[in-house]
Amino acid sequence: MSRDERSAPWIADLYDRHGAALYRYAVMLLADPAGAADAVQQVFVAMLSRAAPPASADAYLRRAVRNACYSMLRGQRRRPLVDVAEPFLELVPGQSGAPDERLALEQAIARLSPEQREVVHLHVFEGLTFQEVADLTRESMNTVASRYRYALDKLRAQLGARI
Amino acid sequence: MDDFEKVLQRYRAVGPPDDLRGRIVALTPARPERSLAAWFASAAAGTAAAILYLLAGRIGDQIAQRAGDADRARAAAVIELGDLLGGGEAAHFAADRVVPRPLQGPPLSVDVAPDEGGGGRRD
Repeated sequence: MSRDERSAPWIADLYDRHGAALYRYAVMLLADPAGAADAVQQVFVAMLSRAAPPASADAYLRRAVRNACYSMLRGQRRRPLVDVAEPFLELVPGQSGAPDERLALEQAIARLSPEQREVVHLHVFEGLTFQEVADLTRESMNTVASRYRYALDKLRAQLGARI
Repeated sequence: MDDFEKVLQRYRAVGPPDDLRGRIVALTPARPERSLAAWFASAAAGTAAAILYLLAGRIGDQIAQRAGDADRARAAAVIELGDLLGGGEAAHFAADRVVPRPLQGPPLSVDVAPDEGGGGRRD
């Protein structure tokens, strides 16, 4: 009997279905892969107190990861901003890019606010509409749309002709 | 969607490290694994305890029955001897002193002790 079968079976199942997406979301919010792993782990550890998975697991877990990330970011505000230590972007399979393009994009995205990184991730990387992003972040659609526009303006300004 | 957004769409956030799933699953409390032999041992111990409980009950009943019989026989002997000695409290008291008591038996059901002077039956 494997450990998965002996453990709360729904935890492993929940991770298999949502873990990767939650981790990618946390990575973009934090711009920090190690911190993202901590946030996701923290959310799943909190789930252990439950007898069964939540009814709307996807929405519940997204909210939980979001809360965990913003909580971590509030704690980091007292510390000086550091350079990106680990890469947090990768090419989508089948796509190609210039060798230093990823690094430049990564550095520019890291300089966005967490809220701007969040809307870029949800809208560009996950393909959510502004309304869906607004529902998830509990902001108005206008706020989300303008946040996205400012984020892209900032990225363009930083990257200039590099991309 | 402009060209810059198309460039962005070629990328995505990195996926989780391989060990993250293992770390999360390892944190879940595992139910203790019991072998078949352990289940048989537990079942055998339970059965043995039940048998011992039943046997102890039967033996206890037999002891109680025997003690009750001996007590009743002694009470009859005390009354009979007391009557032979002339009856009365002093005769029954003397008879109670003379007739041997059963080993670890309960007190006599017939009260033959004097009411005055002793404060109760003396054993």
